[in-house]
Amino acid sequence: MTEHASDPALKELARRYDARPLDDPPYDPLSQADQAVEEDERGLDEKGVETAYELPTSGWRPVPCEADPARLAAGPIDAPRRFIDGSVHSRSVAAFSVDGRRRPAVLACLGALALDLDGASLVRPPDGFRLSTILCLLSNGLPQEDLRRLGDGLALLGVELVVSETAELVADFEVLRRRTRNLAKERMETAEKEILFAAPDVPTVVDGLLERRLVTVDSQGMPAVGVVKRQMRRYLRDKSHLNLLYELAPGERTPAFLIETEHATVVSWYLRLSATDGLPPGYGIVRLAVPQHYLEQRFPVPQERWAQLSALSAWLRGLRCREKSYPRAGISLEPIVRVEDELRALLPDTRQEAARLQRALGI
Amino acid sequence: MDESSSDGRRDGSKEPAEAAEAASGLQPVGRVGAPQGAEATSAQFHFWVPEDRLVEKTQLVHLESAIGSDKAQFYGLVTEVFRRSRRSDMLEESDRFDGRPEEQVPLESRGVTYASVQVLATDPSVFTPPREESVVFPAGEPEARIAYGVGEMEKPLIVGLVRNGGEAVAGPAYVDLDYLLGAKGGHLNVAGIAGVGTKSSLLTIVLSQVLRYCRRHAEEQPEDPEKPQARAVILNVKGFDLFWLDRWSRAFTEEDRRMWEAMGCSDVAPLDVLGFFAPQQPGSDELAAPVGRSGVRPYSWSLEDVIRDNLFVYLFSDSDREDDNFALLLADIERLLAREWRQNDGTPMRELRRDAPARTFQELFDWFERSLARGEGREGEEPPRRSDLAFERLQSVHHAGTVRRFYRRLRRIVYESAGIFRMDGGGSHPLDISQLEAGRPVVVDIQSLPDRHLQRFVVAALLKQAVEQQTGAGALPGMHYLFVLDELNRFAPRGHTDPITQLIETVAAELRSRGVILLGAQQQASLVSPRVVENASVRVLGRTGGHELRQDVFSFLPEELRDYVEQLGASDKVLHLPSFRQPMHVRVPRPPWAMRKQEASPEPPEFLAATAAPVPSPARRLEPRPYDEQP
Repeated sequence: MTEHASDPALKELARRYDARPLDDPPYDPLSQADQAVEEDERGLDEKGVETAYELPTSGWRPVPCEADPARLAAGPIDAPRRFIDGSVHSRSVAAFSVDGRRRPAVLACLGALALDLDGASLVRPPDGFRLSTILCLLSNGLPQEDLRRLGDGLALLGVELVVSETAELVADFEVLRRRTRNLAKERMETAEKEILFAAPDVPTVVDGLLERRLVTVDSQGMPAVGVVKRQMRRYLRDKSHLNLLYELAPGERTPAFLIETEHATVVSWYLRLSATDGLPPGYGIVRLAVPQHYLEQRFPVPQERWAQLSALSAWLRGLRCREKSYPRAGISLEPIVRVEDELRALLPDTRQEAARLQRALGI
Repeated sequence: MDESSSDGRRDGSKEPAEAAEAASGLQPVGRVGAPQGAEATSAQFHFWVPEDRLVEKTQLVHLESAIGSDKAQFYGLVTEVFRRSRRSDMLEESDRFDGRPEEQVPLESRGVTYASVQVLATDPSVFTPPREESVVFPAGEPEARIAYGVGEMEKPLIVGLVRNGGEAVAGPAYVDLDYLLGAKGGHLNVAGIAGVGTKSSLLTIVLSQVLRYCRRHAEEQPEDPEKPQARAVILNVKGFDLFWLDRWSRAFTEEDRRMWEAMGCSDVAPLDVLGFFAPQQPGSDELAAPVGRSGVRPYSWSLEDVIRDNLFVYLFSDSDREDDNFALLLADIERLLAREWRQNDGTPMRELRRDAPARTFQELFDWFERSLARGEGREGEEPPRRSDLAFERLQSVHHAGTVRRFYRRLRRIVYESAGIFRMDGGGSHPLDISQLEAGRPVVVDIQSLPDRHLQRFVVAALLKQAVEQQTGAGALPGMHYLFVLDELNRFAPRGHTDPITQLIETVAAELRSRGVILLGAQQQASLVSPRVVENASVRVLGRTGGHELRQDVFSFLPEELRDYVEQLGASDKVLHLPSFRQPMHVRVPRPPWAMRKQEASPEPPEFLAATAAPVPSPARRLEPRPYDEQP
């Protein structure tokens, strides 16, 4: 946040809306199941999962990815050369009173960054990162003029105001807070997309849900791979498929299946990067996804398609994070860990930014 | 600097260091980092180094940093370079390759190299740390001059080249002559292991440069009534190594010559030595020991010389002097021998009394023998002489044992002097440096003297002359006496209180402003009187052992440089002046003159043959025969 004199209008608005300082509680009162529901609020409705894409649903079996040494040595076609991740650190900073009800305001420091694989080195390309500090607010019931003045006042502090109307203004403050935080998450995804689309022909690994990033028709042909570490949603409903998932050995994958969402259809599969004794059977497994359009255009012959998925899986497993000191080593790729490290070094301290904003609001 | 738009967005499209790089023409070697645990201070900071750049220990660097609302330039010396990987322990390092060195991993490690820097200077002078993320650049000669304050030196003297990393140099290494010749400080002390430290080379190089400075000053300012002049005495303490300084060195190479040229000395040549002196043989005018060259003159003292030059007290060692009875007897005997008076200008004078009981050492011994025999009833028929009465007075005051002991000591000293004390009056050649031609050193051998105490006596005799010259009415403005003396631990040992040690301590502590300057060396400074070592304004370290470096006498050396000093090469030195915030790393060239007989040559090296003249052989009696007449 830049050190400019704060706008007196900020204090005036804070007084008018009875703003009070706020901080995040030490625990998250919202359950995980509700978290998944809340994450879907912005339109990631899954329309269908087709498990018979690579193998018949009843014929699922583990697919070894490292069985063919020659293919392993050759690597995948369109081996990814760019790795993108985003990061958002948010903090509740205030609660406004709108129409007699508490409305949370969330400050977020967010960013997205890319690293290019140059030989065996990871190098940040020119124009390779985006950083923002934003204040998120659900705008239901707030006059446009007040929002404009709030935005102008925040701009003087180097903070962007991000507002959105929620479909249902529930009374549950925690639900509202979660929805407000989602605005920050969306902005982070926007930053990731900016970087991703800046080089649409470069094969890229994106950390997170690919289907949330590739939401346009044109983007369906991009050579992008999404890597999901935390499995919030269950796509395999068949009990035998779940068991197969848990029994995967390191380097094995499930057969590919289709996930159709509102904006994108992706070919997805699970890959076990690692297995650690004493941890749940699901740990060490990541879900990978590529756009169906890209995969089928590039590899029209099904066998080549499956070979490509295996080669890609083996190649990505070669990039797994091997540093046991890293808490999520078992489900992480080293290039993505490096992206996280660089982002962490670039992002400002959210606590300090929150304190400055609260001073500017006079709360 | 990244652009920050009004909505708080920043992107990574700008390279902040490009402007600084374009301005300086240099590629940066990193940026300052100051994380917790590696904070920057006013004396030191760290900077990280990109993968494709090289930074070396002993390299010089500089940077510009914001300080408060202003900017400052920082100049520093890299004292250590670190490399850190991303792994938390060695087990992870091994796990990365599954414990197999031949295993390949797709991504290289990308740890970080970072360097620790000691601040040498800031401009303006501020005592504050540089800011993190300041861009760091490699330093060259201009920055080295600022870092070591060459601009503030009124009389800069080049003694080598500033080391700037492994092999590179950053221009000439300057010391301020005012810190050597007495204006702001005085004396030079070199410490280093024998054979590797190359202390003598450095001492002779410094001497040569001082004499060169004096010559140049005289040429440029002949009318200056206080132009600096130097009478230089080089004491030879090992073999006859320093008796070949007027010869070319066969070991002198083209590379050495280039180094001298980089120091601004294109006209390298052996030292222009005025004369060589060695102990005289007993009962003869010849040298006591074969030197292996011609043109060496003998030196010795008679009793008359010893009394006149006030050296009598130096004949006796520390252990003798600690005995009060002995010391009193010594004083009484000296009173019997010496007459003192002052000239009109206040200069104290001494001479052997006309009525002294003896005029030679032999007579003195005869006097003791006769008098002691008389005391024992063995006097024979001869009537007592007046001098015998003087002896009786001595015996009445001093214990007979003390008197006998004095006689035994004196006899041993003179008999074992190998000729430097003449038994009879004639044929002595006392060393007199007060009339030496300024600008041309003399070499005096003391190593061939059999007794260490005698060696100390000679050093004391010479120093005393210099002290009396420079503190008396006859002191010449601008004149300096420079003494090159190795093995200082022999001449001013730690913990000793004898007159010779005290004389050297007085020279070190009090006489630099009078122009009596010690260019001293030793292997272990911790064995030398602290007053002598600590009063040297110019301290030089060659390769030195770890145990020695931990002594208090090396407190000026930063801890992180100790390992480095333990492994210094023969041509490398660490040099410290009071005006330096950190020691300077110096590369010292090989001198063009021979440092021992084996490398001595009358002819210059081939690559210099066209420009340099051979050394003329001294005392040439015959004209060389034409070539066709030679056998």
